Amino acid sequence: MGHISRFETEVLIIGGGATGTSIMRDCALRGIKCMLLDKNDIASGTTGRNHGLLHSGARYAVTDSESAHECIQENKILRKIASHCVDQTDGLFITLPEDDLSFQSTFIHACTSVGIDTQKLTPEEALKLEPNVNPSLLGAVKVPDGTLDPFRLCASNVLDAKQHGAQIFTYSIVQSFIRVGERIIGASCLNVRTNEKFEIFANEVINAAGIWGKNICQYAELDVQMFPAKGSLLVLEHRINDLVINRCRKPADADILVPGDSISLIGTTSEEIDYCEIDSLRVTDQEVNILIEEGAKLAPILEQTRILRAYAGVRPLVDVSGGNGRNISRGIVLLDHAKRDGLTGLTSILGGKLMTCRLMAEMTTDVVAEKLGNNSPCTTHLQPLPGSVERTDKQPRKKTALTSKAAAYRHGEKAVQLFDQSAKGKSIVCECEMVSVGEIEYAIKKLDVTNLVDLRRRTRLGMGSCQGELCTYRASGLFCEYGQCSGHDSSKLLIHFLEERWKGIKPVLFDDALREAEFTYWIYEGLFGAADVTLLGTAQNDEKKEYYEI
Amino acid sequence: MKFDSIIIGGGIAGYTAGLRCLEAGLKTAIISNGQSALHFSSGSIDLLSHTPTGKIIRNPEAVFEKFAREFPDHPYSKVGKEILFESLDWYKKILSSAGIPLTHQENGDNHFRITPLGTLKSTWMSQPYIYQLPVRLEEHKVQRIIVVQIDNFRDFNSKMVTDNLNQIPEFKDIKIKNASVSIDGFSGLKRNPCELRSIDIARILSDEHEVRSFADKLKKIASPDDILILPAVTGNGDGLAVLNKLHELTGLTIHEVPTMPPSLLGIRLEEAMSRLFINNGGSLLKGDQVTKGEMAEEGGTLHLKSIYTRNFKEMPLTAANFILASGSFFSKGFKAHYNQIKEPVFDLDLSNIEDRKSWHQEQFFSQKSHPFLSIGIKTNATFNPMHKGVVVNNLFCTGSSLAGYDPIAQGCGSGVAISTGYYSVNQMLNNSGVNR
Amino acid sequence: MNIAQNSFEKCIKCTICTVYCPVAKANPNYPGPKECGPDGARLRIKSLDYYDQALKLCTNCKRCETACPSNVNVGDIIAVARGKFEKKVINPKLMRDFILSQTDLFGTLSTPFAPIVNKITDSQIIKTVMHKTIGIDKHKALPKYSLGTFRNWFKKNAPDQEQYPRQVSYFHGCYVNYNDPDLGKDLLKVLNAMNIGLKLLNKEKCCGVPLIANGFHDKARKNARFNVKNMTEAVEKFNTPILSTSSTCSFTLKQEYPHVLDVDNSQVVDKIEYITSFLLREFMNGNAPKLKEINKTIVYHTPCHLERSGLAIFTIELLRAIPGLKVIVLESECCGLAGTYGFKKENYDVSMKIGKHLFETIKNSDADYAITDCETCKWQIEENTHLKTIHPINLLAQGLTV
Repeated sequence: MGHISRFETEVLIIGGGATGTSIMRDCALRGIKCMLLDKNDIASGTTGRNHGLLHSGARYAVTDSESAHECIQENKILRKIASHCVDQTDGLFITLPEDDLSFQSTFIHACTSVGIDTQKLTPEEALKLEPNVNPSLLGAVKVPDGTLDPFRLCASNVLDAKQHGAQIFTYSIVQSFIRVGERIIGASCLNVRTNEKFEIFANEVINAAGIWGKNICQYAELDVQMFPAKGSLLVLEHRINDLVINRCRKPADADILVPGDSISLIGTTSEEIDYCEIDSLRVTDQEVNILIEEGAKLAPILEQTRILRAYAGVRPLVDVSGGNGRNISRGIVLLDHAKRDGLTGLTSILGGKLMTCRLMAEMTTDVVAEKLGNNSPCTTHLQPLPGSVERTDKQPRKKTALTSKAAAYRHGEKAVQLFDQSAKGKSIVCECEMVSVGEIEYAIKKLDVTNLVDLRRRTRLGMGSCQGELCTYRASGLFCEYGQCSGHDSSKLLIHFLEERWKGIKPVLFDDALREAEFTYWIYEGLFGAADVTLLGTAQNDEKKEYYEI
Repeated sequence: MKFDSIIIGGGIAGYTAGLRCLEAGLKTAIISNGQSALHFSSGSIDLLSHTPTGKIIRNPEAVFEKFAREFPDHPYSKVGKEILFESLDWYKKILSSAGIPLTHQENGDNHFRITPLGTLKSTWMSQPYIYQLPVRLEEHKVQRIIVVQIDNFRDFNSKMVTDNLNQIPEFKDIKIKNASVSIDGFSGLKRNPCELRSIDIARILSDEHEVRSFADKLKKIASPDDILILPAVTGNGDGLAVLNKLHELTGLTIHEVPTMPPSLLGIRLEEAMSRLFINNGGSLLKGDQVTKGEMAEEGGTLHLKSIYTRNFKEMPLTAANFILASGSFFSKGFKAHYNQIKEPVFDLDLSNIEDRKSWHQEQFFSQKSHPFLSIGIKTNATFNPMHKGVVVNNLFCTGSSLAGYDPIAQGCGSGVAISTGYYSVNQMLNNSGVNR
Repeated sequence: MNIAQNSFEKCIKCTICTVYCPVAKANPNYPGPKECGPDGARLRIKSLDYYDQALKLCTNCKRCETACPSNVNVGDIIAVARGKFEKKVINPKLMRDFILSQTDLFGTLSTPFAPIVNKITDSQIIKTVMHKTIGIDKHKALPKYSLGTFRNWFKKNAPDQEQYPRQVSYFHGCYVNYNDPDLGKDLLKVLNAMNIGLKLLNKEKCCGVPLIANGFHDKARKNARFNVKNMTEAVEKFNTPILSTSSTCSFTLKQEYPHVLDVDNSQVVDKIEYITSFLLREFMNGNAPKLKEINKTIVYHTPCHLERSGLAIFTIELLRAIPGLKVIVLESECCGLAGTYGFKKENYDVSMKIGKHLFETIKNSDADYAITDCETCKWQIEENTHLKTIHPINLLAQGLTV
């Protein structure tokens, strides 16, 4: 056996979603040494598989005022500290002829009571603000909804934490906890990319693994019941709405249309699934149907709009009541296992939602900091994230390359360094989303990118109309240049990326999605012979050679 | 408007049929809804590289009879060996007359071409600047391969080519290296030179000075015994002229490799065929789309009387015979609806295809072929399609509108297009003979 | 709904349009129709920051649309975006653009003094001054005006025309009215020989194409509404077809009005027809005038907008119907002038480069005439090949036996 690296830290965080990375940042800002571990990339679980809605809280105002209150508080904080991740679009809650218009006043009342600003609009006013909203609406209420890019949020958390001394290990799993009696003192880990084993010793371990938190607890021989509910969404080819559109009624399937960056998203369905299914989610035909049908009620244009892909996430709900998925509070569940189970050194933070990630981090870090004897106050609600520190619109606009503008939109002031790059640095790789060579270089070198899928999460590469058809070859080549990767390995990254794109295309493989897929297949297999790359240099290569003879 | 024959679709199958019709003295129109998929093709003619069961074919001619017996539904099996090779000879002659000489191995073997990922693809007939690697790869005579990276060109990556070629066991004794070459015309552009596509470079290289300077640089990195791998960045409207010039100036053995779209190798073929078609008096209705057809019953079969198009609106186009060469999904020969695939113009009967889940494989790069690639129109022995089970006697289907083969997995796309286009015109001429 | 606003999402990023864009062919600084059209349209929804000044390099020739396998109205998307977002900078070039696009105004002003105006615009000194001040390229000759308009001439002939059993309406356009009334006169002869009389619309204005090309969309929209109103009146009153001898005017009246200007022409669009398609149909229905043999060789050049309409075949077939005539169909490519584009100093070189292959082919052709359907193609070809270039109607008129 080879040498096993050992690391020591104060806090080990398991899970690189919105919660885990927020905890990482919170710890780092309080001067607590920490390391974060994720079995995949950051934001690759539930965090990156929802509709990226910056809730005003209005959606929960009637049914769950506590959540609504948390949302509006965090909404205001995120607008300030994560302005480059937030699009302040506002949202509409519309009443359609089949809805009960009297619900509107209940709704407005509930919003007001938790501090959510509302503005009642006539149908004409709503249509003026959002021309694509269903014109048969009876009324609308405007609320301060917005959009929140979860990938950028996590990446910025990590960037800030690293600047404050934290360390991250992606594609690394916990194999077992290192225990001394009733105390957890660390974890034995494995990097699944390199197959290297390593150990991290920590004073405190935080389980922020979301729905996978149940597994983590099992490593500590603890039992937590999780309640997985699958939520499916569709990505539309372009931004069909400028304001978030909700239905003004009790939350139901497929009733939120969110404009996310250059696209729009329609979500979300809800279906109970078995815990064993959480790693093999599939969007079914029926879900695609519901999403199109219900979505068209919010904005009729949706029915004519090209669908790029479908995806699903799992709501990380903790089963405390045994009720059904829709009525369970998405409340935050903080488990101090020392108190709960008599096992010291482990804290689990479960439940919650993207909107409350910072708050969850604050709560968790408060508990852990106390155990560590650190009494620095939380400052995550005050200090802007890297990217939101300076206003980038001060930059000269006129002569800025389009790719620089796009980069500034995504990385805030961190993109300023890209503005003065060479022609090559500014040149476009992903034509749909305007991702440049320079932005890719920055992401590979600074943002913990190991493959094209990670790169997509940092930059939007391959997330546009062609789903990677034009940019995959170009971007994989850049890994040779900036990622110290051989041409052979970068070809494998190409395949890995197109396979990952394929997962989301399959459920909607009709119409233009099928045309695009056929075209992409012609190029990468017909013209480029990509499938053979995986066989090169393997024994399979020779086995494959079976000749057809007379 | 009246024609002897109307061809729906302007890809390789459509032009083959169109040029054959003109040869036969027929008044012919081609209707094309935009440019064809040749713009992303290798510009080589694939004949047959694999059986539908995935076995490798070295020499298509040698195994033809067995293949036809075992795979009777494959379009080749209907065309037959004689017409297949006759059509390829004919195509070779036609293209050569248009300035694109195509060659194949004397013994009829397939050969390999190198891809932009440094893998090998089997094909049968290629343009002059494709170095034909033997399909018995161990018999290659290559000493050294130089892969040219054009500085700042994002659509071809020499490192990926080099590193993957190095993984091929039969190449273990060959020196494979990459070398960068700059193009003078990249400097002094207002536009970002790193964003030029192959076609933009081809425009720059249509300048005599640029070609000379480029040739000088190539001479410095390679010697005549080497294979020089060059991304296909020449030939905008002038076919092989620039490559001939480069070859003449350098004396190097050039192996062109296609790039990310557009692919100049394929564009050359389409340009050559389209010019020939117009010069020979064909009517090319570009950018138009057939919207519907009018059929009449005729002794238990259907007869296509006329078709209508977007541009001609209510004015019918009539012909004695029609050829459907409208391609697959990309070219809108088929349309995939939510849970159904249709031939959109005539609603012709398609080969069996179940619900959407069965249209594709789990993996994108699957060992098994994606069913959506081999879906097509059901035809009789003479490639006449059916509408609700009734044969349409004067409509012939060609190329990727046909069912029963996967152009990519079986490496037979252009071969099927040419041979079925050619064969259909033969059938059509027989047909007209009878009608007259 | 405006087609251009929805069709961009059908683009599957195949890059074919970049191969067929004449501007991209000649000017490496133009990013091409894909970026400016569908890619840009999608990003411009997100933010206007993505509007690129390079869009003004587009000549609106629509060859990208003919080439597109996905039926994306690439050219329309660009034209609409320019109309919406292009910022006008007040400078001498704006004046030049104004002059070049106000064909009506300057036609009206110039025709009474045509010989003098023509002499002035033809003088080397004036050309140099215009080159240096407002940026009309000194190599270009501005179109010559005729002495007196076609409309004035027609007034005298109108009563005769009503004698014919069938009538057609004629949208003569600026070119026939101010520059080349002979083309209108030839049309009248040809139609009369087919026993058809000619009518004019009560009033007409410039179809708007030069205004669109120069980014004056509001003025173009006004003209469009005016023309649609007058065409509607004609259709309601006489129910005649409305013919045009300009491939570009007819294309604009039919397609640019709804696609680019958002002007509803649905009540008249099916009545508007480019002349050769009307004539060929008449010919095929047995109503062809008697034609003598024209033992000449002609090369036929397809104008971009006729190519986009898909109607070049009618002109070609019509020419082939002329006895004795040898018809050589040239490869369809842009001549480079693109209406007003090639007159501009900054575009001159690109314009010449676009047309180079066409000019060389024509020069080497030994033809007696070049034939084309578009007035600006005619100017460009004549100026650069010195081959007399005429409209198919001119040739038909030559062949009439009476």
